[in-house]
Amino acid sequence: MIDAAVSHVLRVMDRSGVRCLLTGGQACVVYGAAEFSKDVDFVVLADSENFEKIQSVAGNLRAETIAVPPFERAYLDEGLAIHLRCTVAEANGMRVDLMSRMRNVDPFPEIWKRRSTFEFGKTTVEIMGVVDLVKSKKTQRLKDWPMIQRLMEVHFEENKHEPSDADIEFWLSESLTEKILIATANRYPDKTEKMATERPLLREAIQGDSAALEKAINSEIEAEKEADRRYWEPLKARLGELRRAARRDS
Amino acid sequence: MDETTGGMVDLEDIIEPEWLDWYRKTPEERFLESQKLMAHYLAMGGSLAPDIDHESPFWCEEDLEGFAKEMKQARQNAGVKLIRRDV
Repeated sequence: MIDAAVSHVLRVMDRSGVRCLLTGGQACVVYGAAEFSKDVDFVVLADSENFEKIQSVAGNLRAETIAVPPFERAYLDEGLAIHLRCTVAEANGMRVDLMSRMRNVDPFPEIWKRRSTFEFGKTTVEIMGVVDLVKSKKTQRLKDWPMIQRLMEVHFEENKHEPSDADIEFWLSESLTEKILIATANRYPDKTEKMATERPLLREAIQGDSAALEKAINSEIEAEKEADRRYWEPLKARLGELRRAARRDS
Repeated sequence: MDETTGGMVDLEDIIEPEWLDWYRKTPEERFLESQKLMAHYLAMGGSLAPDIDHESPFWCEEDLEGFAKEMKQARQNAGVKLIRRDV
């Protein structure tokens, strides 16, 4: 039944009425940027009412925490992720990660407004909007960056024939593909010029200088990775404290 | 370049052919195919343990060692045996 494990988790979430958005690898699968993911990640609203529903879902999935922090709402508020593993037969072994705050990503009520809704058979799945998903993937981890590139390429392909202003701004803000940036800059020079104050590497796209653009993209990625490392420094220290406390208690 | 989009780049210009088919599936098709891949991955001795990712802020060394053991166990459970390696 493991091939249906992800479906089972999504179905249980859907029926529970938990206010959550599918994010991470499974969201990248749906948007076309990944082929599969070994876990199911959700960003959740961490108010007390919703957290009670999340606990109920965890009970239905017979989910156990596999690492610190403990399964308590306060840790979501701190910006930590709760790592669960299902033991229910229909999803045995499937991991479910929960977060409520992510670097670069707006608070839950804002991202909820920008969500995508998909139906898979009888299951409705609310998925983090692609703009927010891209922001959430700007991490210190090398493996997240090809995901951003692919998310942007799919979005470009799906919308290039009749792009909205928001689509064009999205490509110019977030694309990591030189050819997309140069083509968009050629087609929309005024908009690109305006946005270059926010994203200076667009000037290289306007010039059509692929080599300089590639170098600037790599610098931008390194700066984001460093910002993510700095963001996580106090959180990693907090996780260290929780691990020591867990060892003392065990 | 695609003339119909006024010189906008074609996907074929920027990505590998093997990704094109995947990009062009519907979200539901991708989701279903992904679950088939997951089943295949597990049958081949794959594990649902988190990836050994030293860049991840979530895990400590002890966690990663546990995940590595779990991966090895999953291979053994699937009957996959390593009989030769270079390094």
